[in-house]
Amino acid sequence: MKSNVKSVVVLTAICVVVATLLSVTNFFTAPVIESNKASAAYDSLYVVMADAQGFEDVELPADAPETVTGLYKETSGLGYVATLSTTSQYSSDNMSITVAIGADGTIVGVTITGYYESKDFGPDYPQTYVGADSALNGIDTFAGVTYSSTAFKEAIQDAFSVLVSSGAVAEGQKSEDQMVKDILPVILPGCADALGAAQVSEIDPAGYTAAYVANNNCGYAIVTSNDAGTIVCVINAFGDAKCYDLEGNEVEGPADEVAAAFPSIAEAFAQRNLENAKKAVGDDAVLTPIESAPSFDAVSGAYEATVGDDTYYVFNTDVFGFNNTVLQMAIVLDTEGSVVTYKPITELIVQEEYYKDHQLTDKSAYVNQFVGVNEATYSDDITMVAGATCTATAVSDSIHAAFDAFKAVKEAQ
Amino acid sequence: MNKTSKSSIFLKGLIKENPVLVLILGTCPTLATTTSVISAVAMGLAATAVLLCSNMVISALRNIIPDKVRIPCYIVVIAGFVSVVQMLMQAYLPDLYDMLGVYLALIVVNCIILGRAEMFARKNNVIDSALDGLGMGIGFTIALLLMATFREVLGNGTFAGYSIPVLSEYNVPILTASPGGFFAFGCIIALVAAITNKPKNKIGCEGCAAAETCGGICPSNEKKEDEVNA
Amino acid sequence: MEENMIVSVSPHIFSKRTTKSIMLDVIIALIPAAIASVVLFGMRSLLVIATCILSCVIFEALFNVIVKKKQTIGDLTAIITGLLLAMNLPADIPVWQAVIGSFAAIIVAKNLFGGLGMNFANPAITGRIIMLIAFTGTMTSAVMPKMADAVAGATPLAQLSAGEEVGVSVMDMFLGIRGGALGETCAVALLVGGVYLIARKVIMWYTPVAFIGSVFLLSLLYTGNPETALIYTLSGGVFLGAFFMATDYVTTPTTPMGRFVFGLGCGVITCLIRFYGSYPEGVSFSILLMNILSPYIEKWTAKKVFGGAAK
Repeated sequence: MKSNVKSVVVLTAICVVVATLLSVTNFFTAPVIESNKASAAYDSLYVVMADAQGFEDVELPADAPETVTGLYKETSGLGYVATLSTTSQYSSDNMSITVAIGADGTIVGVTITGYYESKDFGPDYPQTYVGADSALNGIDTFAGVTYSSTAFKEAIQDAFSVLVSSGAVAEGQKSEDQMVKDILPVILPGCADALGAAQVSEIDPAGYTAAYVANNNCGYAIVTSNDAGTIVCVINAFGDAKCYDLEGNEVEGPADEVAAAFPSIAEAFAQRNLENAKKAVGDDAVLTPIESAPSFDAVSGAYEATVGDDTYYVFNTDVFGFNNTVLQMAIVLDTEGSVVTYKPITELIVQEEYYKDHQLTDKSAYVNQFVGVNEATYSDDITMVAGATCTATAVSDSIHAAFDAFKAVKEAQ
Repeated sequence: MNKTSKSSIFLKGLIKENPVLVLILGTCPTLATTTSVISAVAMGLAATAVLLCSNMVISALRNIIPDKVRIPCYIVVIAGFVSVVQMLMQAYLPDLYDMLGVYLALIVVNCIILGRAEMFARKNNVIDSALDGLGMGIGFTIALLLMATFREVLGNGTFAGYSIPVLSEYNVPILTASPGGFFAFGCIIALVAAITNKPKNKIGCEGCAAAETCGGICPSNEKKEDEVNA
Repeated sequence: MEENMIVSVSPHIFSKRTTKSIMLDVIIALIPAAIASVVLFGMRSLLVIATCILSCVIFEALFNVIVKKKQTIGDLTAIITGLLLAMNLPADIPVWQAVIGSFAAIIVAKNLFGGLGMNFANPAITGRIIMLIAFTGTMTSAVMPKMADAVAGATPLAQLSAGEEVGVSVMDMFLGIRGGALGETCAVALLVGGVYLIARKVIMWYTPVAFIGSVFLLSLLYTGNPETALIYTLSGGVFLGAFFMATDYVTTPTTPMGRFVFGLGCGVITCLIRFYGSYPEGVSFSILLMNILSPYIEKWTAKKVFGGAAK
């Protein structure tokens, strides 16, 4: 019994002594720990705005985009710092960005505090944003890391939108070049890729201000001017042309003149398109090229096909797939506008997307599900395939393009 | 108990009876924190501090603590010191604290500390225990440093965060992950065994490195007869 | 251990078989696949094969010298390990990574355990898995065969959906015109090698048939389409694994029933990993797992000694 009592006493005594020691230590260290934590939160803010004296929290407006996680105002009036969190479909976790925007509305510093994307755009890319204002003129996405850099760019734009809309900084000026690029996906929908950016290349302007050809051969965009200001003429593959101003309103302009100055795309690709159309509709069909189909979607060729007694319309669509590779399809519609055949000419799933996890195991069944669908009954849900988003978007784009062109052809008749 | 000299008590912890590489104690922090040199050294020094203090205190109290409750008492003392070290690190060395993370708290159950308390501190005086603790702790740190150098240099191409010119292109990332950690551990143990020329293949107390200080209270002693008979 | 004289009761049968002659047969059986890999992937595959074989032989020789054991490279098993490992690597693997993989295969998986006959798992497979985990980027980059330009980088399933005849696409799979590691694509060459080995009685047909058969049947069950099932069977390392690695003497059971069960198990695990797991290829892991189970399979299928009592 005595030994038990002694055991208990000794153990309790040791516990008491240790507890006292711990509370003494805690007394000294707790305040230090607290202040450490507080300053750590602001550390990343000092990284992007080195001259800052101090920061105070700013409450985010209710309609602020989700990507903006925090907003801080620098106490001596140097500007603002925003913390952003965004992601692309190729990451395991959110990308955390801190950007400092000076009082003059230009970016002072930017840094990435957490990066989990599957591809890296390198440390130099974020630095290209320094000095830009809210228009982000001349700043492009990073080649090869399109999705992650697009997410990055959009997050920065969100930061700007919060500050501009609350009047904290002034809006930047877009260059004309930028405005043209921004309006192109609207007036020439065929040249837009899955993310809505215009995929065009510059060509010889032939006397006009600037000229672009869509990378998927669906048309041209020519920048010129009339008395009112800068206008953009869009020409589709068949030579149909329209003119718009930089806000996207249709205006009067030298549309036909401009169209005549550039070679017809449909003619340039006639051979290829004819072959592809035959693959879709059969060798015994008689194909007559359609001269005019004023739709500006992703169509590079159109034919009227007669097989026996039946008449069909064949449209060659060139759309952007994974990594913006151009996929060619030939779509056959009957006279009512319902799909008869959907024929991919190039491989639907580009190799890189193939090796990822996707659910498109039976391609022929996938392709066959479009038969009989027309514009009214079509919905994007049919095309969606988990894990092969780019391809699915491309397929959906091509079907929309075909329906558009069909409508245009019908109206012209 | 051998009346060995003070210096030999200190020195044996470094190589001959290195707690990690010879006694194979404390392998959990060894594998976990040796992915980078800085965290390895930080862990080693933190554990040394705790080992030193706990050895001294337990040795001082060795005549007071009754046998029945000795393990709980040791644990309370060790845990107390670990908590103190934790709080001090969090306050004054926050970067190291973040780097070590949960493994700092796990020093409480680090076999080295409890093992030395059991095997040495409760049978020797304070000074000897302090020397033993210091020696073992530094041996632990040296072992961690060796492992971390191997893993970080070959696995990451850097040393203490500084990139090494040629190796950073040709690194073998698996070494910084768990499989590589075990492999590196095995290689270093083999290396140390080859260097210290341990007597080979002796069964029982003769072949065991901890023989000098454990006083023969080894559970494998009982098993020995069974093995010979089987 | 090599010095032990094994004494057993007569009658004795004298055979010309040695480890060396068996290994020679295996090398001969692998030559068609090696040639196919050079044809499909170009001269770089020769570099990879040479690197792996040389590294394996040199490492084993060095190891024997350092630990003062009898030199064993004469039994040609190091060459086999090198060749098999090379067959599992993509054609554009950096040379230094192939060397490290050879080190892992021959030293870690074979010599450290005691050399030939003592390893618990197939060295080439273990080396490949270690490389997969260590160098994931370069190991999973699917290299397309050089002659595939005409087929515009077609991947197996893509061919089917483009509406071409099934025969053509399956034939491409059969001939190996698809992306993959050096030796695993050309099913024809591997089949020839496998038949040669069975004819020379180096391996028994139970394991390959069980392996390939179960992969085909399970793929059929899963996809419901015989063509796709055939493509699944011909893709990945199934043929290479079934004929050359699931039949390794040291790490697989010796009884006929045991071998059949082994092949079956490999096929089942391969399919499970392919359909439900996150790795695209399950052959190497399945062989490794079954290697570990081999002792139990052996025990389970051991024949009773004639006249002996039941256990």
